[in-house]
Amino acid sequence: MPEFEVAYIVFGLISASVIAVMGIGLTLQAGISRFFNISYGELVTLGAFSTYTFSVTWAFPLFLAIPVTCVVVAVASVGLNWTVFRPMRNSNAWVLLIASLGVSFFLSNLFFAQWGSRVRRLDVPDFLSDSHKIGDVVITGTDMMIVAAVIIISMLLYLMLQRTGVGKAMRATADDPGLAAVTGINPEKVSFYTWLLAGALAGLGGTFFAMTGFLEPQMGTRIILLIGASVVVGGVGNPWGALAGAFVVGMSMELSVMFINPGLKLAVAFAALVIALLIRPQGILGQKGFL
Amino acid sequence: MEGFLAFALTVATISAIFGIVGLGVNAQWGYGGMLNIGNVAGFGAGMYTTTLLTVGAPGERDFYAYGASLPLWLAIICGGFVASIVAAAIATPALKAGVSALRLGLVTFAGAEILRTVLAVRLDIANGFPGVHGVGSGFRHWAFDNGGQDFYDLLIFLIASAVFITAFALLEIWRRAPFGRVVRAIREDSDAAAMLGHNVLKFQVQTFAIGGFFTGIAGGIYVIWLGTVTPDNMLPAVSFMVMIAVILGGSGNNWGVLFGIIITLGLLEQGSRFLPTTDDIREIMPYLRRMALAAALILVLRFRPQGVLPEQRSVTVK
Repeated sequence: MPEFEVAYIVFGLISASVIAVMGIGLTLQAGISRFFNISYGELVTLGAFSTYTFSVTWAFPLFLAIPVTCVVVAVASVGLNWTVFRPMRNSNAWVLLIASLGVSFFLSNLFFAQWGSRVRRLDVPDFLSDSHKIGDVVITGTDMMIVAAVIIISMLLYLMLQRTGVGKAMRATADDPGLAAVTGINPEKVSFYTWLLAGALAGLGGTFFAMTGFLEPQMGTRIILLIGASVVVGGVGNPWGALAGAFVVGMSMELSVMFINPGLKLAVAFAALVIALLIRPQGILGQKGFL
Repeated sequence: MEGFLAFALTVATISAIFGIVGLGVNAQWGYGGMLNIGNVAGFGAGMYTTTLLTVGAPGERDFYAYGASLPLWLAIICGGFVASIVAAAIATPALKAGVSALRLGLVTFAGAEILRTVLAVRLDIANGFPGVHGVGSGFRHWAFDNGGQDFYDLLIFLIASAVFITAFALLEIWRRAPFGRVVRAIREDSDAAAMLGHNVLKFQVQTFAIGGFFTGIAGGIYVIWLGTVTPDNMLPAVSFMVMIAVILGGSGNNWGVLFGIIITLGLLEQGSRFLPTTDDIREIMPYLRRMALAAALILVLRFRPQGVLPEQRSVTVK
């Protein structure tokens, strides 16, 4: 058994940050639309490949490609909602869940047909790929950027949800859609902005995910389980819950490496999900009886 | 056998094997209302159990610890029981906590993935990633010696369809029996069923175990047909395909399940090879096929969420 090292905690924090970006997006969307959108994973894949196409294939600078990707995926997310999910919004939650499974199946095979199963990597500028030694821990510029990005996103999200009209409308609708509609909040508008925001976060998260590893058409299918786990552990519909859930999932994954085979990281994350569900079915910050 | 006949036999065999899986999943989801997105856990447990119970002692290149050399039929039945225990073990804690159908789906999904990762990483269980080869080779050699490839293919089909018909009959009896009626009552309103004195958790766990048993039996037959098992046989896509087939055909209707399985896993997966294609298209054909399947699922859910052949609501005649 390897000795305890601070590095594992740092790696856990980085994993948690990557998951958290997407977890916040998924949980906001699940809170408003009242179902688990499994095809969110494919939006993540789209984000990664969009950044790849802009920055590698078309040689845009990376920091121009990322915002463009966020816009592209946000539009795709809204488009997906309009074509598939909005017409079915009065169905049962399980119908929507299975439909999103179908969308996920459709898109991941479309990505395979388009990009093949070849593994690709993003080119990142030197200042991101350089390693820095802080104490005993070696981390890259990318890692630092991702952790910083999560902190900034959380602060912006807090301001948006607390101070702006759209944010307040989102919180109200997630709490009680009927009551929110009675007070004059337009649910269509709230849903539109939520899917837009969730899509942008999927694009950003997918890019981060690709920067810490590699690109392949099934990357979204692989990560959606971890995102879903962190959302459920944290409490569906609550962005701070998603942060907490991502922390639990990321930490348990990286800390488990000290005790067991690293190949079982994924299994540990799911075990954490199952245990968390049994101890607190509504999640850390969730409401009882929601989804 | 060539051409169309061989094709028909392949479709029929696949439909029969996955039809058994579909029946098991239908017991859990269609009648029990319990979403099992990780149904491949039972299927895989059946495959691996049958493998380890039929193969001989490990050879020089093998890492697995133990092979029992049992006869095939016994190994398949044991696979069914192990699968039933695995399925129930994954679902029981979640059912006990009373989680919603969606969360149960997530837990079963996670359970299947945990099982697959463990089997892939631990070499001493069943060789890890490369898997075990030569499963059921004794039976295959015997069949080839006595009648060649055609005889073997026909035999596998006959076994699979006999098991399918048996499973179908048993589950139809189960559905009409008081047991099945209580399970459907729990699906409709678990509080009301509990108030009538039924032990909801017990019925749910038993239903999960029954469904798991049939998925495991199917896994056992499938692994003998394939002759090899790897963790990739347990990828989530397998669960998805079965779930899609059940929902497309009609949850809560065993005929609907048969229809769904034949259309999706049989005809659509196998039939596209007869379409005129160029090399470019042939390369992406598997993906196009699955896209068509996914599109069909979304359309069915949109316009006919109860499936093509919906559940027959029983009417009590006074």
